[in-house]
Amino acid sequence: MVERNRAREHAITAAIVLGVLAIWYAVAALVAAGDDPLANAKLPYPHVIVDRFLTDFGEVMEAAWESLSTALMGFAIGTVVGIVLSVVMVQAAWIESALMPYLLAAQMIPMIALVPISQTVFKNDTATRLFIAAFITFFSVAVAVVRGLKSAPPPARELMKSYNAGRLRTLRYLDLPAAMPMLFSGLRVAAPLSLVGSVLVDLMGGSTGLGYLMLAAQTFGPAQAPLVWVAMFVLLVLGFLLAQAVILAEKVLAPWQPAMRQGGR
Amino acid sequence: MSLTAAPPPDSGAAVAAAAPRAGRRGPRVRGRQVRAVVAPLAFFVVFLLLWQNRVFHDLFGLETFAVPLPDRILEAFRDDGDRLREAFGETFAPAVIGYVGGNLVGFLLALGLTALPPELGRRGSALGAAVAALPIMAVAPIVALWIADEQWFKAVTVVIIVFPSMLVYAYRGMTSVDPTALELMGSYRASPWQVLRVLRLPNAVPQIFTALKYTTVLMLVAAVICEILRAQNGLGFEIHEALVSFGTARAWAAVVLLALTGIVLYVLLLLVERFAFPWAVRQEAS
Repeated sequence: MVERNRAREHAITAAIVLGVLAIWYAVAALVAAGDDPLANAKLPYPHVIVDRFLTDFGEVMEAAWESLSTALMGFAIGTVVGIVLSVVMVQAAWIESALMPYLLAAQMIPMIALVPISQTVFKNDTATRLFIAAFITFFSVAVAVVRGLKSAPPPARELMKSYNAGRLRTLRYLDLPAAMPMLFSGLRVAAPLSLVGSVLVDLMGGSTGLGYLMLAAQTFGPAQAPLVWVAMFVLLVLGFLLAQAVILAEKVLAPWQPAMRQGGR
Repeated sequence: MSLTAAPPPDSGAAVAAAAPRAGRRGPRVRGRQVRAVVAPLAFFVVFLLLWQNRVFHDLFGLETFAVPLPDRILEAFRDDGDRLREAFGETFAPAVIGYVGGNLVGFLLALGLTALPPELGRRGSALGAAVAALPIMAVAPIVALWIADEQWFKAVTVVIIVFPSMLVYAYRGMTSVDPTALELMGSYRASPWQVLRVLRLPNAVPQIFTALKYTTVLMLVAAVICEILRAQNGLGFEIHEALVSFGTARAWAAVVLLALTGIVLYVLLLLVERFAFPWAVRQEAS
């Protein structure tokens, strides 16, 4: 039964993928049939994109790594700073009420607008990429972890108290583990954004990375257009991999959580 | 499904929870209320004073032409007010058009998916989640190839960025109804339309508002990125242009304006939700 269900699921998914590809080819043929000089830029055939990806494989991968590695480093810095700050915040109510409104407000702000400004401050592409990725990550993580640190059930807290566990031990054995699911949901929000921030820096005058590749391809005219699509797909895959990596990390670091969440939903 | 949309920052619930409860006011509650107002304000004032007196500049070796002092930013608001207002309109109008259009498209698609058998609907929603994972960075240049007009380029990009979130959330809200309630409706021989109106739509209200709140940030981000990438007007372009012509204070003023817009829109939606659907807010909090 299970086997058959799974086979059916796969079949339906495959059908959807094939359907999307078929529609793509049909529309691309329509676009190509019109006498638009930009036809192969507007919607190139999928095989043209794959072909382009294979010819420029090395260049594309190098650019992708440039964007991804700085985004990841910034992501890591932002996560650590966010966790440390939220632990500090929950220690004293006045610190929390002083900072929390700003952390919440930061989530309603288009942080991406800071990219040009931080470029003039740092005057260095890598530093800007790191800063933006870390900054965006920091806010999502801090808000989520503060909420998570306070999510332990009161009876557990009372139990810790009855064992005469100090702040440090309560943090280590109760609050930090309790904050794990919130931490990871914060990370899932931040991961794609840190990548976008990093790529935006390339687009705004950086001289490396995926964004630069896209920009360069656009300025070299319609013949280079498939490269824009290649960069777009690489970006898409990177974003997807980053999200998957967060999910995987959650499974490794907090194996008790994902199962619990699914049960709770 | 692995391609679930990123959970939105549901800070609304937290704000609602943190808001002082009317009614029972012991001295402790009052103390907490006072702290909730005084502490952030004090932080703000101290931060501004440190900034104004160049403490940060000395500490991190910053230059005032890279990071202007607060009074210079205020001055920029006064001196370049007209320019900023114009740029704001150029950003805001297409962003709102895209926001309304995108949320409408997303909602209608969710309605359509709800009408389909759940097996197909679920896949459609997963496809929506996959579209939601598209980085704005990747969408905008492609849209630029198709649409020459600057304002429509922004609006369409915003639509593409906004609609999948609404689709995913509205679909989840309309399908996660209590099965016994569905059975009850069935036993009354309620028509699908009645089930939708009485059961599914009210059930989806909190989720729809979550999407509405979440997408306000997305619409601003998308519009600004479009402007930075290609457009020749709007706040995003203004930031860029000001930096090139050494008008850093103007660039910061534009960023402050964007930040305020995001906060105001969010709070506005929060208030609408509270006053128009108080029961939904309670449901969300519990």
